[in-house]
Amino acid sequence: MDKKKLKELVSASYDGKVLQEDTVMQITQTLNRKMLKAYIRALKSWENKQTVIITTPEENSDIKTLSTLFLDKNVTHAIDPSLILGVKIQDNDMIYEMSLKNRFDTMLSQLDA
Amino acid sequence: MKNNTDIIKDLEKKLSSFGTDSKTQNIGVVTKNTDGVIMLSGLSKAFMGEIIEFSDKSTGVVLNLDEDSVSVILLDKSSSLREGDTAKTTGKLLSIKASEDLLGRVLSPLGLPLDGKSEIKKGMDMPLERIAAGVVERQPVDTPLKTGITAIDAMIPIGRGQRELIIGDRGLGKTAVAIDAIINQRPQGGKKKDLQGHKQVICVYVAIGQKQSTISQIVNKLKEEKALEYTVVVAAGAADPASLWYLAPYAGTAIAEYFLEKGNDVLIVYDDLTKHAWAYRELSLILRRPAGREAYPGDVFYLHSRLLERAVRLNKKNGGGSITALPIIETQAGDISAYIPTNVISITDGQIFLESDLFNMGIRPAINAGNSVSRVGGAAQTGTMKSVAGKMRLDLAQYRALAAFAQFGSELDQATLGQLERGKRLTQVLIQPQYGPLSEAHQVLSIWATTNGYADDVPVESMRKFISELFEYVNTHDKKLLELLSTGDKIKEEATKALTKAVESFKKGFSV
Repeated sequence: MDKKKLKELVSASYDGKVLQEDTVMQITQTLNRKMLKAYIRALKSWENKQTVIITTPEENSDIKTLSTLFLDKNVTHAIDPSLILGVKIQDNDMIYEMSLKNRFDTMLSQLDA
Repeated sequence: MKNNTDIIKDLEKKLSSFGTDSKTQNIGVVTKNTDGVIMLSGLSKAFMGEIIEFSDKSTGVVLNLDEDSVSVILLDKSSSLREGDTAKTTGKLLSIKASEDLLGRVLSPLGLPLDGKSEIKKGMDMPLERIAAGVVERQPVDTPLKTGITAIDAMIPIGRGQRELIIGDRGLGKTAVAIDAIINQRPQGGKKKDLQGHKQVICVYVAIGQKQSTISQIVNKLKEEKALEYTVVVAAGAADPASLWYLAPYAGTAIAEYFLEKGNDVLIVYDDLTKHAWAYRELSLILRRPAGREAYPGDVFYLHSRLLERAVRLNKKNGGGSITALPIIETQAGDISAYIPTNVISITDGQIFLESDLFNMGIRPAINAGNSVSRVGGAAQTGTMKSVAGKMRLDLAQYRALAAFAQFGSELDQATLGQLERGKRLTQVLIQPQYGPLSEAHQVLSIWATTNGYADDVPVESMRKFISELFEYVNTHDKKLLELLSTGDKIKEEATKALTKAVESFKKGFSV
């Protein structure tokens, strides 16, 4: 199965942002083990592309404002107290970190150097 | 001097930018780990040659960029990486710290010390991969790089900035030739320039896939000969991963380029590029790149051409330094028409071909003068050497042609017999012990004496004795002659007279 067909299968598996279980089951019945593995990987990759994780050190009312920046994506909220202050946004394979922890880490690495 | 208000204002400025200082990271997830090659998904912003840092702090270099995956070669022996582990880009190209402190050191291709001495922390970051100097920055090769090996300096001269391949089967003395060339760069009397005004040469020896014991032997020999003082050894041993074998010659070249930028002349030895090609083949097959002839990938030529193209002679405007490359290639049963040998032969500016038959006949270095050639070095030969080398080359060529006929046992005239005898003696002149490089004056002296018939009455088996005693005699009785022959000028009347006088007076006291 080439990449083009794989992409077609993945896009057929979704209705908007929602993965269609029936369609997925139908598709998987026709795939062999190797194809299934590639299909799962492609679905994961698609999910990653569609998901944005916003991490804050504590419950924060600014999350709603930040979420409006990613209207076309599924936004999930996580809490990580180790950030101390600020926010970390993961959009697919990109991480934007504006936290105090990051600031301290940078300072420490500069001191080490 | 700033007043208190200014300082506080500065601090306020810093404070205002404090919050906006964000970090952007590009991350990926390990999907496969095969023999030191890691496949990752994500890392969409990674670029070729970028360093990738894994979650276990091991590092790697990007070698393949696919539509939705990236292949990275591991630089450590780490095998603990598993599917699902994360990695991030660093935005840095692979580089090595280079400084004067590297002289006398033994390093891994990543710049880590292998000699038990301190870590090199200071230095200029030199990228391992770099585009070679262009046409405008270069000048023709015009300065000799003396190897101290008579057969090479007389017949296959090497110039500074040249790429001369050393090729032959295993165990024929390829490394020995290169090591002799390094030893011969030892400064005379601690001076930074020789008698002809040529700069001292800094050497880089790159060991690729060699046994640790062999590397250790070489390092000890260089130390013994006081050659390590001006040499950097970059070693990727047999137990190191293929990625380090692959990177070693580029690391060596990066170090050489540091000294080049300082205006120095550098000699770099790649020992050997056959193993380098093996390492690249191994990596390419794991990366699933299409295999071509002998299972090498299609870009194996580019692998070596981009490396050897970095050998250069810069013009004065660009510092006037040079990098002379001596790549080594190992052949199988003397087959120089195999894939990698032909590639490297076509890239380099000539080759020194070592032959097993000559080696077994006791002719060492076992250089086959017929198959060896220097395409640009002739222009760099000194006048002194040119005056004697031409005649020697002719005499030897005639000898080789006649020797083939003489095997049939046909009757030969006196002139032909004379040529054969001269050839036999000249062959003896070119035999030289290992680690015993000769100065140009001594080389010229031995060639001149033989080509001018002063050794015709010396039995062939006594030729070595004749030459060594001649050297001893001149060293003790006629130092002026050696100085005269060291100037690099053409041999004229004055020098001819001095040579005749010295050789004749030596012969009076010489007995077989």
